[in-house]
Amino acid sequence: MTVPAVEFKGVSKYFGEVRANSDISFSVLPGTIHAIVGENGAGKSTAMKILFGMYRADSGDILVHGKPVSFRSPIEAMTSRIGMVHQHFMLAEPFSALDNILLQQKGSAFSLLPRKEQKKRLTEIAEHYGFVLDLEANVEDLSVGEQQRVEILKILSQDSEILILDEPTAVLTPQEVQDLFRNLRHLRDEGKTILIITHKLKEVMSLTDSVTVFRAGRVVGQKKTAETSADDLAEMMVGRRLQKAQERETKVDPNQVLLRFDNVSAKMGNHAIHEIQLHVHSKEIVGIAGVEGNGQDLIIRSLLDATSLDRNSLTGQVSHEGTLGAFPEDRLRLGVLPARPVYENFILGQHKSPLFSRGLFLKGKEVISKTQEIMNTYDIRPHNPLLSFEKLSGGNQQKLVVARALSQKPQVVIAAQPTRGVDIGAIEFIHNQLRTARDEGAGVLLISSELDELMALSDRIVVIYKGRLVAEFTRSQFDEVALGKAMGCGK
Amino acid sequence: MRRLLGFVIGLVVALLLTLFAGENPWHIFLILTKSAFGSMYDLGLTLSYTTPLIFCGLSVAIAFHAGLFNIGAEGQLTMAVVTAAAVGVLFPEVPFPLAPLVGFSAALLVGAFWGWIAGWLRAYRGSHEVIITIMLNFIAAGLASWFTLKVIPNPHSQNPETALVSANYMFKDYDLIARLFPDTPANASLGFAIVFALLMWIFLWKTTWGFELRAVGSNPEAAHRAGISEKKMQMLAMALAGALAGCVALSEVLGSAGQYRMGFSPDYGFIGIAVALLANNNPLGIIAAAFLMGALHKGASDLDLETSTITRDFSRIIQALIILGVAAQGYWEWMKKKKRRKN
Repeated sequence: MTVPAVEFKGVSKYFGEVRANSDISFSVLPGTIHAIVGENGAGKSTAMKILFGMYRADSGDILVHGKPVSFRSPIEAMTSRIGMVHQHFMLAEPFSALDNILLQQKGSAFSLLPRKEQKKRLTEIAEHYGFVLDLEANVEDLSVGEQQRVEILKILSQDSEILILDEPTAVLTPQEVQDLFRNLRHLRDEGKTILIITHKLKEVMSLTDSVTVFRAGRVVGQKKTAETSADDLAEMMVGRRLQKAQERETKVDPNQVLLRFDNVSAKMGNHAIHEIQLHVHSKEIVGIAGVEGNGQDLIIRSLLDATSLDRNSLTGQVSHEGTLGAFPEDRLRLGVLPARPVYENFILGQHKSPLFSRGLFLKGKEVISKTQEIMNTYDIRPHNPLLSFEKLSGGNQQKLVVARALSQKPQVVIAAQPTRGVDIGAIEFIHNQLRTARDEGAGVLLISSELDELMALSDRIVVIYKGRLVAEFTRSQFDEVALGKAMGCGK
Repeated sequence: MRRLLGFVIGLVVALLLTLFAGENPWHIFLILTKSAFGSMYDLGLTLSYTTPLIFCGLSVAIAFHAGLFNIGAEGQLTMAVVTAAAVGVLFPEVPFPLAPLVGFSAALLVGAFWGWIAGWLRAYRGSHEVIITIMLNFIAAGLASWFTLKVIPNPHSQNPETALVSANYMFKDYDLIARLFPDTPANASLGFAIVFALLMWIFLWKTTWGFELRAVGSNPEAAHRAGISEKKMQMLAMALAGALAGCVALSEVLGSAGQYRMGFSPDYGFIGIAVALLANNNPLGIIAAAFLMGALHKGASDLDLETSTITRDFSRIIQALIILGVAAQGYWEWMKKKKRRKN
């Protein structure tokens, strides 16, 4: 029997009172791609960070190629030929790709070679694994996919045998995902062992050989990918069956335009949008697809926060009917007061409504009881309005943000990245809330980088590329390949 | 509770340091306590330090709730105290009940204005309030000495101080607290300080403005998206901070001295930062924290007389160690972790 490349035996890790990992056991065979799946906060990243020496386990053993290890730092892990690509890249942006890779070699035999020699070696490695990359280009000029390749090359140049990738596809376009997967398969065929943290089950099914499912800090199953299905995995992750989305019963009301962008252009720093023409009708969900940073935030700002745009750069007409409810793309930065209690977050923005205040004074009791009521109806756990917001899980945080925006029944809903960093159970809930708002007559503008989400919810999808709307698809025309292409190159 | 323990730890470490000077820490502690609370006279002096510290603590705290660090309480209180003295000297004819009110209002306005400058520069020019308030401290000190020495100097004294305000401006005759502590500068402004602390608590936690101010302090971008003007709130917070620091005019000029004396403040504005920190910026906690700091300050003043090796500057060392003891909350987590490991 082959010795596993990585084996966890009863590993536990506590943060304060929280059990991030309890009694984790699983093993990964050498030369395979292994997925670690689970909802947010299920403990996947923690387990991988223990393996990589960023955390130390409170109890239990980790075996690498059959030998027990206990790394005190990532450096020790790297010398044991384990490498990790973090979700947020660890690159010095003004430096070239080559410099970034060499930075990490400090002290190794490789670092003593002349630079020319080093470059030659790296080019060889890149070619060997079929990586397309300009080593002399500055990292800030590279696309996200290329930056990721720099990170992987960094690891490969250290002769790593075990690669850990944390949510590698979160920021990639569909095309880039395909490239990444091709590269990863190639690496596997060369005998590398790859652990990939993800919550996208479609990717698990198409890429991996085996999979371990985490739920609430425990391992709830280990399967061969060929012997399972996306639905089974989802059920294991969530712990219950998910409902199938129902076909909609209401119809778009084409005569009632609720939100208009007429020939809107605007600028903010290096970003700009050009001649945006978009109408959202009552009982309609319009999706905006696009790789992040192509002008989505400027569309939102032109509506919600025009003063933050460059002075006098906004032209054209932006208008909406009735009230507006919005959830921002980055809830922690733009939407909430993380250190404050839940109830203060719930009233933020509506604190002057007669519901919550009388004159200059807040209605303390009503604020708490109304928040309690919302937490109960939307099942935001734990049901405690006095808890500080950051103590809630990502899914519950977002549920509160959604509840806040929708509880006043706004006519226009701006939903930006409504399910980012949110677990499957909460995604299902938030999607249903948006459908309900639509059926009740609201016009919804949905901005997302998840194609699955856009295709599941939208009646229409427009694609934004470099600040322009370059393509429009109606529901019957939805097609992942065509959408991906428009997102990636504007055609 | 933890903060109180941090206070005790800081105090104990500071006292142990006196061993190096060949003193008995317990003896030093007794001197401190006796000097701070030993008699009605001592207590009166302690309270007279407490009052401006409450005002300055509130000043630092309200700015902090808006996410701003007000290092300028010293300058704000200087401007306000000089203003109160100037009004009292230049307009001696104002009749009694009105006079202290006028003097106090003028002091508040000037203090608020001095704070507002930093708030305005922060909101509209992006200048950092720490730098600005420090610079404003120097400007205030310069203005104050010019005004004191050139415009309204005290003709009967060689000391750098202003002339005495007209008697109409003093509320001594009606001052119950002053009567309780004869021969000390303690006065009714202590009552005002406590009332102001209560009002500030209500403002911060019970009003929409207070909520908006705290929202801006907690996450300015989210507050902005929620329709709160962070510029307005930053200016408001700094103006209120300046006004609160300006209240020192009440205890110093109108309540006791009747004039501005250069160097009267043993850095109340800076000790106010320690007070706010000790109280976690809670207005009600600030009353207690200011009292502790005031007691320390008074207590240390007798060290010069009672020991040969330790001077009153020792109170600075105690303050510093208390701040470290309170600020270094990390060791609680560390201790908790260690305990769990053992179990």
